[in-house]
Amino acid sequence: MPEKAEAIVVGLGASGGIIAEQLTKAGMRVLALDKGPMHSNEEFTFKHDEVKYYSRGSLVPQLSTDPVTWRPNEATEAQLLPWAAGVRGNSEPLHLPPSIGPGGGTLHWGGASWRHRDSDFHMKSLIEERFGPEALDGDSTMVDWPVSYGDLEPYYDKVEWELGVSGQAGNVKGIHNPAGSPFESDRQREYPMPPLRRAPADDRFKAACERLGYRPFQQPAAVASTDYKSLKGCEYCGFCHGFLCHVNAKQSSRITSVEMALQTGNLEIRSSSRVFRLNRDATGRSITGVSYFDADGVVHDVESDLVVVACYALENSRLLLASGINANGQVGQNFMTHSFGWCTLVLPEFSNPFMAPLVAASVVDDLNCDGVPDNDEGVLWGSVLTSIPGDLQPIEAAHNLPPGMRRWGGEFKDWFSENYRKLMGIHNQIPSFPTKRYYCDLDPVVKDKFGQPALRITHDWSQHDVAALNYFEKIKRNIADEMGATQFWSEANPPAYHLSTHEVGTHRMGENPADSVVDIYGESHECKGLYVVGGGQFPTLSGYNPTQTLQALAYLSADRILEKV
Amino acid sequence: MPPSSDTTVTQWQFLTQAEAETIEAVCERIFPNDDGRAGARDARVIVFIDRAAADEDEALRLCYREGVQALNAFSNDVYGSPFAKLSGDAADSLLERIENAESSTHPDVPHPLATFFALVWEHTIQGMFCDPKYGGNHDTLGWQLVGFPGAQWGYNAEQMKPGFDSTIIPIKSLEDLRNELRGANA
Ligand SMILES: Cc1cc2nc3c(=O)[nH]c(=O)nc-3n(C[C@H](O)[C@H](O)[C@H](O)COP(=O)(O)OP(=O)(O)OC[C@H]3O[C@@H](n4cnc5c(N)ncnc54)[C@H](O)[C@@H]3O)c2cc1C
Ligand code: SF4
Repeated sequence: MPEKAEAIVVGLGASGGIIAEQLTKAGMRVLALDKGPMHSNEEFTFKHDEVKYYSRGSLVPQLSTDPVTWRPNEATEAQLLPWAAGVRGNSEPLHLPPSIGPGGGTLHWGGASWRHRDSDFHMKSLIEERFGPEALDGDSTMVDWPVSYGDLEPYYDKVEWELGVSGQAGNVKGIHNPAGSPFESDRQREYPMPPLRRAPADDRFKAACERLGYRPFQQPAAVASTDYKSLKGCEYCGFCHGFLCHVNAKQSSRITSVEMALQTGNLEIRSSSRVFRLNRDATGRSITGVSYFDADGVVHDVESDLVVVACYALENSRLLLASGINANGQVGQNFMTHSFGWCTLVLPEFSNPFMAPLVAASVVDDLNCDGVPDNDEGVLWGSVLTSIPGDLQPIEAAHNLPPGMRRWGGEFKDWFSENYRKLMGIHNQIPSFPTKRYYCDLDPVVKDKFGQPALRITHDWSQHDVAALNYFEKIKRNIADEMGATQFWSEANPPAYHLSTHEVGTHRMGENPADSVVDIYGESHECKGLYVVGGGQFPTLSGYNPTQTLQALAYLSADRILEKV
Repeated sequence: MPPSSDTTVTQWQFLTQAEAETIEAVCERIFPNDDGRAGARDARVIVFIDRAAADEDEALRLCYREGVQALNAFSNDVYGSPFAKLSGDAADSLLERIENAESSTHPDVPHPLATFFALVWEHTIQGMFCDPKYGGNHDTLGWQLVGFPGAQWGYNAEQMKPGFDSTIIPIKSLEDLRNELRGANA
């Protein structure tokens, strides 16, 4: 007799954790399967280890066990992600799929927590109104969202108050507060916690931006500034982005939603359990369960008529494809990601970049969304521009040296010992646009050690991406000059990487079953009882980080499953 | 010759003494001590590398083993002596040729050397700035050199003021953190 479960959640990351919590609180018994390990308290407490987490990427899936391939176009043969495979001994964990194990990507994320603006939900209409219907190229598959900001506002609120976000509201029910974002859409109340203390160099950044006429405000953060619910106030240790948090200040589903679900007694977690197939009935129209490999590679089947797949946008689409659930050919299409245009500055005084979380930072949001001014470069949609004054340890810093300088020898040693303590970064998040050219499918050759096909990504940076990176580089250079930076350089444009940890779009949500994969609640059009959730649902990527929006969507999915909407 | 200035002989986990000497000579060109301030040899980067090679996979070990042979063959070809015996300038010019081969195909540079040098570079950086439990960053010399206070539970508002001189914060390693917790729980 195969095992039966009332509900199965596959993947206990940002979205899976929320759904597991909501279902178990409502009395359902949930079996959660996660391919990663359950990280121990010991690992959390002593996480101050750059070799383990940065150089060896111990939290993220390794290409040797979880292969992903990439090619820039269909004429080129795909290879294992070349920017991450790198030299032996460094796996570049910041441009691979996110960390695994209960907690998922929120174990090692930075915690920049954003609501979209109202305009993000109408990107296509706004671009076409302003620049004409020809502005988007002929291969564009851009659509507006089937939900609006107003639909999601209660869920954004829930993320902030249930899970914990710190920040300064700028617009509570239309009443503006100049200390917060001048651009945010109406919110029903303040953040539950005040903003964090900012990292040392951020004062200089903020003052320079103000002198240049921008209206900077503080980055809203999924990092507790004070004790809040299960979170403790941040200690500003600086081993944050890419690391576990030793005080539980960083909002990870492992300590928020998953912990709350465990407390109900209704959640069973099986870690190191890798789902490889979603099973359906003979008609293919209803889900019947999943098959997974345990840590020893033994196959198990579990039956359920409710399966929530929350394995991140990439693995979600791979699982659907590997299970043959793709009747309309839309799974894996519309791949989108961010380019960062990472810039580095050397400041005239100590910035001590090893202190504070990544998000103890300020944001210039004047040029985001449809707020990007008319420009000669042809930029149709803007991006946030964020200071990165903290959270930088020496090994990572040594991987980002000014171009033209020899990376070894006395000159390098002098430069690095003089300037490490004076570094800071500024970056953007240029959203790529959905097009027929960029998609994911199953690699015809490469398989993992269980014989399962790898995901293959076909993506290149578009003219628009390159133009937007150039446009924003000038702005960042200007800010750096105003800050008195003694050195300034930018990452390559177009970037070498094609994964930013902000991949979305690969199982688009929509009302029309012909041109989307799931409905607005995340339920598969093709297969009843199968929910596929996360950033893969996004019709477009915004200039903001995606997680708070996919968390909001997860609450919406849970409400649907529980028949509240 | 021991890999660092003290007199204890290192028990290698993977490398042979001769391999250790060659690799350490490369590390020292990457992070030299020619100014009296800590370099790769002082920080015992080679101990880090030996342990990394022992702990990680076969491909990595092979890359070191074959790389050392190829480097010495190349060095013998060009200068008539093994790499560890070269002057600083001669060693640098050889490494420069190898590094340039990374970005273009140089028929005169043996194939595995570009990867080997990239690997030694990577591990030299890690060995300079790792937690000392990995064998490198001996006596936290790497961290002292750049002013990094190491494994801290956190920083307070005073320390987070712009321009604060972090070298007055006592450096801590993971072992110090463990001892503190043990002390607190005792
Ligand atoms: C370094 C880094 C920094 C980031 N910083 C930010 C930030 O500042 N702000 C922001 O908004 N976002 C950030 N992100 C992105 C954020 O982590 C993701 O958007 C978010 O975690 C995605 O949520 P998810 O629920 O879709 O998947 P995840 O949180 O990635 O969870 C997926 C889960 O599924 C499991 N899984 C995968 N495949 C299988 C399988 N076959 N079987 C069983 N289980 C499986 C994984 O182990 C994992 O636990 C960052 C990501 C990274 C990597
Ligand atoms: S900086 Fe704060 S949130 Fe980040 S890991 Fe350290 S204590 Fe946790």
